[in-house]
Amino acid sequence: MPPQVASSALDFVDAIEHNTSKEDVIRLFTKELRLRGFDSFGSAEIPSAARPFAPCLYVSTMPEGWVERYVEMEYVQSDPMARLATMTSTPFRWTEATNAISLDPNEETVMNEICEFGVNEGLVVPIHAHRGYCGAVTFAGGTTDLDPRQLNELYMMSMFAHNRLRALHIADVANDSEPQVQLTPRECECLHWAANGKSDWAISQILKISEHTVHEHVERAKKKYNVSTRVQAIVLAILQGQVRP
Amino acid sequence: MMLVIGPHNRDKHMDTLEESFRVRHDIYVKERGWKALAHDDGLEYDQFDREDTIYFLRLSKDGRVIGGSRLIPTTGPTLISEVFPQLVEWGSVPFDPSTYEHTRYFARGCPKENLSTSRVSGEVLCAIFEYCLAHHIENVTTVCDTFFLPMILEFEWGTKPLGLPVKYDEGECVAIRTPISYRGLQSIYAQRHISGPVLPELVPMVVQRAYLTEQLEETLH
Repeated sequence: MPPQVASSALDFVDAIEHNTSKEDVIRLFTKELRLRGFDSFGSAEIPSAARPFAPCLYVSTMPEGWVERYVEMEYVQSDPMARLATMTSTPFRWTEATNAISLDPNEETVMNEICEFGVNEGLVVPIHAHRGYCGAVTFAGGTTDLDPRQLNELYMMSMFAHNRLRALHIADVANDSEPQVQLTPRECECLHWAANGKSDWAISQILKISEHTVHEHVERAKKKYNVSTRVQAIVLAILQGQVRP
Repeated sequence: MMLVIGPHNRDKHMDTLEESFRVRHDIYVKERGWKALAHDDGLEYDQFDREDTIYFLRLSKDGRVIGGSRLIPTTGPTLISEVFPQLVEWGSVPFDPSTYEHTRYFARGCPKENLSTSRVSGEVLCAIFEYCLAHHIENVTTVCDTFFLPMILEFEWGTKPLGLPVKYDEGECVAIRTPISYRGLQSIYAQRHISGPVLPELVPMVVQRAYLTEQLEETLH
C-alpha cells in the first residue's frame, strides 16, 4: 500500500468542479501556484493548424499592462512559448525553451518585452484536446529549481483548471449569442459528411438512408439558415458549432 | 456491430476473441513497440484476459475486429493493483464490486493520436458506458497516458485522478476514476456524432431508466 499523501492538488481538483465562476477558479488556482513559488498565470487557446481561429484568452492574472499589450498586438501569433506548446505535450520552462529553439526577431521582441514587465521566467503546460484543439496554461515567475513533485502537481492542476476555464468560456459565449438555428442530428450528420466532400450518394451509403432523404436533409438545413447553397449552410453550421468539420 | 463477450458467451466467440488478440498484437507490439507484451504465437494477451473479463469488440460488416476494449472487476487483480499501485496516492487502490477497470482501448488502422476522434473508438466508449449503466457499474478506473487526460476531461464525465502522473519507459501515465452516468454517455454521443445506443439489446429500457433517474435526482436537488 503506497503511503497516503495529503495533497492540496486533489482538493483543488475537487473544489473547482463545484465552483462555477471564473473568479473562484482564479482565486483557488492562484493560492496553489503561489505555494509553489509562482506569481501569476494565464490560460488560453492557441491557434493551431486544425483551429486557426482568433486566439482566445480565457484568463490572465499577469501584469495588466502586459496582458493588454499581448492581446492588442496579437502576440500569441509570435509568442515562441505558444509555438512550442503546439509542438510538445509536457511542461517546459521558458529558459529551457529559449535555449532549445532559435527565436525569430518577432519572437525575440515578445520575450524581451515581457522582461520589461518584470517577468523573466515562467512555466508552460501545453494542453491538447479533441479535434486538434491546443491550449496552454502559463505561469509567470518561479524558482529555477522547482521540486519535481510540485511541478507534477501544477501539471495536474493545470489540466483541470484549463478544462474548467474553457468550459466556462464556452458557456459565456453561448449565453451571449443569438438563439441559434437548431439542426436535427440527421441534418448535422449530412452536413458533416458534405463538409468532408461526400456526395449525396456517398452520404446515403454511409448513413444507410436513401439519396433522396440525404438531399431532403440538406435542403431543410439550407432553409433553416435561409441560404441558397449547401456551402453556405455548411459554413454557418460549422461557425455555430452545430457541425464539426 | 458491437459484440460484448463475457463469461456467459465466451465459449461461443473464441475465434473472434483470438482475432482480437491478433489485432492487439499488431497494434501494441508491432505499431507501438510494447515488446514486453509480445508472445511467439503472434497474439497479445496478458494476465487480465481472464474468464471473467468483459470484451467490447467492434466488428466490421464482414465480421473482422476493428476496435475494442475490455473491463475487469476491481475485486480481482487489476493493472492498477498488480502493476501500477504506485499511481494511487489519494485513497486506496480501487477494490469495489461496482468499480471496473478499463484497459486495451484500440481501433484498427488508427494511430494513437486519432483515437480521440475516431468514430469506431467512440462507439467502443459508448458500449462501455451503456454496459456499465445496464449492469450497475458505477465507476470505471483506468491508467491513461497523461497526454490524453485533457481529452478525457473535455467529456465532462467528472473524472478524478487517483494520483499524480508518473513517468515510465514509454512515457507518462496517470490513474483515473470516472463515474458512469447517462449524461456522460450523452456527451460521447454528441462529441462523436453517434445517434444513439450501440448496444441496442440493452436499450432503450436500461438507458431510459438511467436517464429518468438522473432527471429525477436533478429535480429533487
